[in-house]
Amino acid sequence: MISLAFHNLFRHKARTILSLLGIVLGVAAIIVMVAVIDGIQDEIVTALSQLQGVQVLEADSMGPMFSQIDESYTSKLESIQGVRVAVPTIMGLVKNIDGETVPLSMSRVMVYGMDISRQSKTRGETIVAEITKGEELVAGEKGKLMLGEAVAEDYSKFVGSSIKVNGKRFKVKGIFKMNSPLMETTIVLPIDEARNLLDFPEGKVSMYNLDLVNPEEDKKVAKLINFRYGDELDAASSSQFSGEIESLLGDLRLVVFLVAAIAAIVAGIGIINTMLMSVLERFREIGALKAVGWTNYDVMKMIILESIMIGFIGAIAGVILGYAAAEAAKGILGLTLLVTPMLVAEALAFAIAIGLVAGLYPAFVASKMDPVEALTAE
Amino acid sequence: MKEVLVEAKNVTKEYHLGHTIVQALRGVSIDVKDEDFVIIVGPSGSGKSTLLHLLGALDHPTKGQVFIGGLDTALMDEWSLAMVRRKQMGFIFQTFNLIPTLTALENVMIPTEPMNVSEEEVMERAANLLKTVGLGNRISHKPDELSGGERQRVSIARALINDPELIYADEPTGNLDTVTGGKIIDLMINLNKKEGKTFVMVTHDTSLLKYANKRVFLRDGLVQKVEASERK
Repeated sequence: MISLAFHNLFRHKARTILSLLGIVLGVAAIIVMVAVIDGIQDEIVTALSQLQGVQVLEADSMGPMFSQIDESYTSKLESIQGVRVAVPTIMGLVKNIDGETVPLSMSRVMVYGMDISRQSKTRGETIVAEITKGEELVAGEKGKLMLGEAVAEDYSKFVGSSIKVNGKRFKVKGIFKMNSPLMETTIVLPIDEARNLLDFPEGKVSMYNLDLVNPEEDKKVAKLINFRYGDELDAASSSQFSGEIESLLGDLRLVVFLVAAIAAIVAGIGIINTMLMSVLERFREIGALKAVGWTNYDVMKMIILESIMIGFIGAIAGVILGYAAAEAAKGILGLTLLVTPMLVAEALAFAIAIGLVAGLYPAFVASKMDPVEALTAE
Repeated sequence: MKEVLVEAKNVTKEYHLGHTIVQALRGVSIDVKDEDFVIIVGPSGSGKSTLLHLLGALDHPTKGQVFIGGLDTALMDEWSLAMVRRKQMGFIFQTFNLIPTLTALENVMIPTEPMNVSEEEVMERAANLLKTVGLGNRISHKPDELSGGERQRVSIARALINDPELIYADEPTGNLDTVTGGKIIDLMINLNKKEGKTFVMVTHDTSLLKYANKRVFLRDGLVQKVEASERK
């Protein structure tokens, strides 16, 4: 019956191909759009996984850029059980580089000023994954900074180059790489230099990164801090944070999937139309099949098979097209797209399900055809 | 005395055309015995096709009963009727009703498609049937590569695939020229005489009556007369 259904599909090649096209585009849209989200999620999760320990911000602040904490918390935080080192950090946006205004777009540049002597005592990973050129900053140094690879590239800087940040001149001591390009637009420098650069108030810092005695106790330590200083501080473990981001992206993924799914559902309506026309045209044949002993169920099965085949063929072609488009987007636009086997499976299952559902009504119509009417109609 | 295969008892059939009721059959009784060659003849609108559909378990009478193998069709559900058609009957139509995308061989095999039978076995049987109807060399041709007469031969082979005892033919020569039609009738008579297949044929062509051992004359939904002779 499978080969019969397959043959039936290609009686009206143009019509079948048009309804196939709908499914192909719908599936390809799902693949590409969801792959973008999966790509972003993968990047963020990778980036977050590098940040261990606990971050402490001002209570109720909207993020590190808006947070101000009294510096006196350094010793208070370090006296909490389970905390090895509390690294005070100042963060802010760079206004201009070499006299040129930095636009507040995706290519914005962030200043990350940290207490170098404390940072060097930490055991966990820092935000810097790897120094690719030059050397790391040493405590007490002045007039030197490290650039993220993206910044170095955008402003054509090398180790030893001079760079003017917010009107102050520095020498590039090192260039570093991070596992996520999202975080490579960063300038790292000692906390006091950052304070000057950003006009950050004396005695205040943006946040603390805590290095823990036992990294697995991050949630426990965060809870302890919130319990003790909850009115002024807000401590969060990275694992908790990455969980939140993942769930947020999970929601976004669902929304994108649903939007693309609408396209595929419209394609499904196209299948219903195609199948219905095909069934109505074949009324005489279907009548004959019933006369020679096909049951209503047999007729139904044949029509649903045809419809599922449209879904299946469309899904396969859509996955191939979507995958090719995702690869092209990677190459041409430099986007990070991730076509996971899970996504391919979801898209396939979805398209086949649409084929099945779209076949139900035409199959029902066919199964209810009266063989007598089918055979006597002129 | 031959066994009665199908029997209609005082059947009527009414159709609704808008608000008017059309009486296609107004109380017809007929029986078909094993190895009969029955021809139902009458002008168009006489109810002959309707009668064939009732005898062929394709439709239910409005009143009266149809017995197939002694069983009342009114008591059978759709599925049982489909099984009766599949196992005990074959159909030949005026318009052939072959599937254009399938070869002659595949068309002959189509009634067995939903059945759980060995494909090779069916294929062999279908090829033999095509040989029997004189199309041994055309088995892989599609319907549009065959002449009208050849197509009707394919549909005769299709009617025989499940080896039924009864074959219904609705104007089988209606779309064919006289010579080709004559050959189709010869083929049917041969199957009747050599293989003992029972035929019930509907036609408006009175020149074919000579081939039947039972002739049913229908007019306005009523049997005018029945002529029966012992099979030669």
